[in-house]
Amino acid sequence: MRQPERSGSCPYAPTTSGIRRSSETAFQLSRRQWLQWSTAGLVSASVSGWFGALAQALSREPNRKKACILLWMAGGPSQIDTFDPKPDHPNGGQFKPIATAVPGIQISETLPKMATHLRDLVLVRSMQTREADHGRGTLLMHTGRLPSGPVQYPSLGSFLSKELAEEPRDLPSYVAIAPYRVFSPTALSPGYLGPRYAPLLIGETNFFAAVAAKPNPDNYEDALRLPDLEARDVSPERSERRLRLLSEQGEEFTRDRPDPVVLQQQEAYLRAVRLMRTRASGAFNLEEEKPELRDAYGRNLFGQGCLLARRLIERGVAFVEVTLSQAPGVMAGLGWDTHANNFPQVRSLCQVLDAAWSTLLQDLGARGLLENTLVIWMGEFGRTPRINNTAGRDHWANGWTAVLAGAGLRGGQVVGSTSRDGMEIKERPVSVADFLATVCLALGVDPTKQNLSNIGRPIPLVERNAQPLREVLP
Amino acid sequence: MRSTVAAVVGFGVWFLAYGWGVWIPAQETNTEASKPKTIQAAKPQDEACCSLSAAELAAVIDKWIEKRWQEEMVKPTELADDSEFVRRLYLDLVGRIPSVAEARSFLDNTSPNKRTDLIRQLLRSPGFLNHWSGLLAETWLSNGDNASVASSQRASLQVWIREHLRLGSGYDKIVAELVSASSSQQNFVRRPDGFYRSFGSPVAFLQANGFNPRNLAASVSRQFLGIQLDCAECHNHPFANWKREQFWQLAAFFAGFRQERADGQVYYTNVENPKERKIQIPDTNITVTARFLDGSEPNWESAERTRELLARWITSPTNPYFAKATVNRIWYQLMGYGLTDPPDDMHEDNPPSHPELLEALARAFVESRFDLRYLIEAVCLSRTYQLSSRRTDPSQDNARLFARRVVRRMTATQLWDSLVEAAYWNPSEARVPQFFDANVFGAGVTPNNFYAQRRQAFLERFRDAASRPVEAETSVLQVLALMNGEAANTAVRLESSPMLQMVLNYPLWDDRQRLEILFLATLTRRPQLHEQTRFLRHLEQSAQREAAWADVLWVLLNSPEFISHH
Repeated sequence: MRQPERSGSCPYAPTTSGIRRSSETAFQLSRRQWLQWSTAGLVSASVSGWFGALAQALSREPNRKKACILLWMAGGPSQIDTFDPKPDHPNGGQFKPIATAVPGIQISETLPKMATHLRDLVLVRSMQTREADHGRGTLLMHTGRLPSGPVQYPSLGSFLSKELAEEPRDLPSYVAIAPYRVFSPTALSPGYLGPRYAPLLIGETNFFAAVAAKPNPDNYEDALRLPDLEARDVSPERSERRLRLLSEQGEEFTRDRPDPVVLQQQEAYLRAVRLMRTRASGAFNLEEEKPELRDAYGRNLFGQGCLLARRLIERGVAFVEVTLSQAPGVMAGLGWDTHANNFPQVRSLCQVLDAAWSTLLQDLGARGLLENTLVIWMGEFGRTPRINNTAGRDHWANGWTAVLAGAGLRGGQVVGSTSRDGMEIKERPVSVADFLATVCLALGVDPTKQNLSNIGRPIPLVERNAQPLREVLP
Repeated sequence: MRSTVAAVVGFGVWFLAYGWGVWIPAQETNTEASKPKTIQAAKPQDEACCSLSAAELAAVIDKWIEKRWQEEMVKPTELADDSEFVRRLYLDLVGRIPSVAEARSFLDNTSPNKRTDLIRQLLRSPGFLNHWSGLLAETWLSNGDNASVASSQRASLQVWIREHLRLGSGYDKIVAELVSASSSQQNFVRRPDGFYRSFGSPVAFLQANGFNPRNLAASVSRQFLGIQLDCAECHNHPFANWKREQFWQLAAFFAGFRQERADGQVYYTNVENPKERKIQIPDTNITVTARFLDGSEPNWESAERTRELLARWITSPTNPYFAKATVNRIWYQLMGYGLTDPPDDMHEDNPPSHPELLEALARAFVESRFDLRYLIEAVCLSRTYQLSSRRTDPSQDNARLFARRVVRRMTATQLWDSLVEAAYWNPSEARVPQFFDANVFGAGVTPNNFYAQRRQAFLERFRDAASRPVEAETSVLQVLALMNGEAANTAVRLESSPMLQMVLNYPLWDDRQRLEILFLATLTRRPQLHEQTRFLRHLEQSAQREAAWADVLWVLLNSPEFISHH
């Protein structure tokens, strides 16, 4: 009997580590935690004490770990009309290839600004994922796994920010800007890592709202503000008074019930209060930026989202995901899902993308952040090389492009290739696991590191059979 | 002429909008009638059905729990006081905290039987049907392919379970129908207004598992037998004594669903050959025939359809797993930890904490003809259930000995519905809509009232399906929503908080009485003296009376005592 390949990566496979869920110790552990927290925590810390500690943390410039920005192309972008042109074949469509900053590498004319940045980019032209459904593809590209059984896999934003975040932190370590979660509601979920690693969602594009009322393309300013950072009409003094009362009121209950749930809630309140008090630091206040720079990013949700991403990374946020799912003339939310009328829609999306992404790389570079920030560009899959009879391209999982930049990667490279008609992978098929393992290593994270899952078994960040792209790593 | 044109255009618009979607077309062309099945009421239960009354079973529970306390030298905590008890019971049985009136009527009741009476009363309330049908539907679908479980499927299953609970069906009957359900039953229709209306059907379970034999085998064994067979899908089980072949023998009961291929992917449809009983183990040349997990072979002559045989075997009173798995699941639901824990992973290396108790509960459950209410009543009547969550001695720290109540996180719906109660919002508008009485179907489609958007955002923020309530973490974003979010703001602002309006405007109350109402509304208890002093002083020191009262309610709603289930 042939041993199936997948058993090597099965979360249920026997492990030697023998980690098992031990509920017996739950109370003892938390008791210790309680003692720690009660000496430094909500119960006893004076208000000014908190504030002081916070100021110190802000002024300290830690030798920080790397960070990651994911530019998520909802709907699945066409590889041929972006980074893998096919000029000598009818599948190539109407866009022409253009030369780039790297001799010998051509990309589509839709991304002229990005062409000048090619020295920073690694084009992976041979992604092979076998999932041509939006929901499953979105989940697969975010978790590295297909849904199976009861294991709830965390999104890469969750598991990477868990590894990359610095403690103590004032901002959440994982922020998702303008997400479009209709294809896969769980793709951004922290899964078995728990809500502590859930993303802060900003400016979500809601499909149902979009259908009910046409979204106003100019409301991106409002959309990009952090929710619930302050209560409506509550002055800072009143807010402090409330918090003082709350801290007194919670004391007795918390002391008598040192359960994990109670102690963790207390910790979450502490973090939230810290976040409220740092609102002056204004990570979300885009008005602080020069108007020229804001123009360069593009005055739209994605462009300003990329600018916000840079501001967040600057302030120590570990992982920011920015979704591009709308552009003038493209149905909101469905973005790159260009089954019909592919070419004008791709052109419109690329205009938004080209300005934002190229400015982001420039901006990160100018601030010395690009060395330590990995920028990923990908969608859930690519699109068919063949053009269908409505001038559209359909879903395509066998040979599409994803792009990496920054974090010291050896840019100006192409990994893998597809055939002249784009229908076959010619060299180096890259699986999701290969790709995510590369992402981990670029960020200095060990992809074989294990987390305890909700079924009580340890599961590695990336499946064990992954073969990272060593040739692009620094 | 004009009116004819209008009529034609009108019809066209109507047809485009609604006409085509009035019925969801059934995929299959199979034999069974596509009409929804109606559920037959159970025969009235013989009062003397059970050898033990619920109270006697509760005594058995306490006997075995206390035996371990003695062995382990554990000093249990005290009995929960009436406040803690009534709050807990409402959350467990009907999924929300009691209202001020409900809390008061219980606290001020002097009858010695009031706890027993309340348990019985709540078990027979509509709230119990809503809450427990939702719980069971959520649980049963929890190891389907989570990304694709549509809320309409959950709703459909819930509606169907609720009807069974209402009629008092035995748990064996519910599960047997679920496992053997014809895949061609309709389970929802699209109404002219565009919403989906569900009749409720067990088919949602098959659907949520994609009609996939592999998923169905894993789901059924986990949910109804308390066995995690998933591992045995690809290799022999690493901890338990399950062989890969056994997994596929179970999967073979679901082998009849037709496979199709599209985009290079295999998927299954609800078109079924009901007599199919063989399946090929993927990536091998081995084909296995359906066989029960205990190794016995089905009597193929005795049923029309392969899945009927499985359903009968699972729910048989002599099945070695079913009753134990069920009582353990219910125990877990009410107590926070299973007797075997995790509750759906029963095997030799994961023994129960109280084996005799598990046996006794399973036996009594079988004798009661799998009566869920009887089982829940017995657990709630026990002293073990009624212990306080207050830690009084370090020996109570092993949660598996149940010497004090473990604190759980509220689910998103428990928290929202409790907030509705505390703010005194109109429950018919504000509460989480129940799928059988509201026209709410399909993800994201909610009626457009004042609360709907707040509720949707709140539930989404607080949803945490992956964690156990005893371990679940609260995120910073959740806390921000509790402190500053739209829902919290609505609850504490005078113009949108009927509770504050009532408390502030009723002329005959003094501030002491007002405070008492807010405490009852949020924490289900009256304030202690030092709490009274604290808040009265705050009120005195505040210049603005309304804002000061809003602050009191804000503090109570954010207190750990309110946001946890203890």
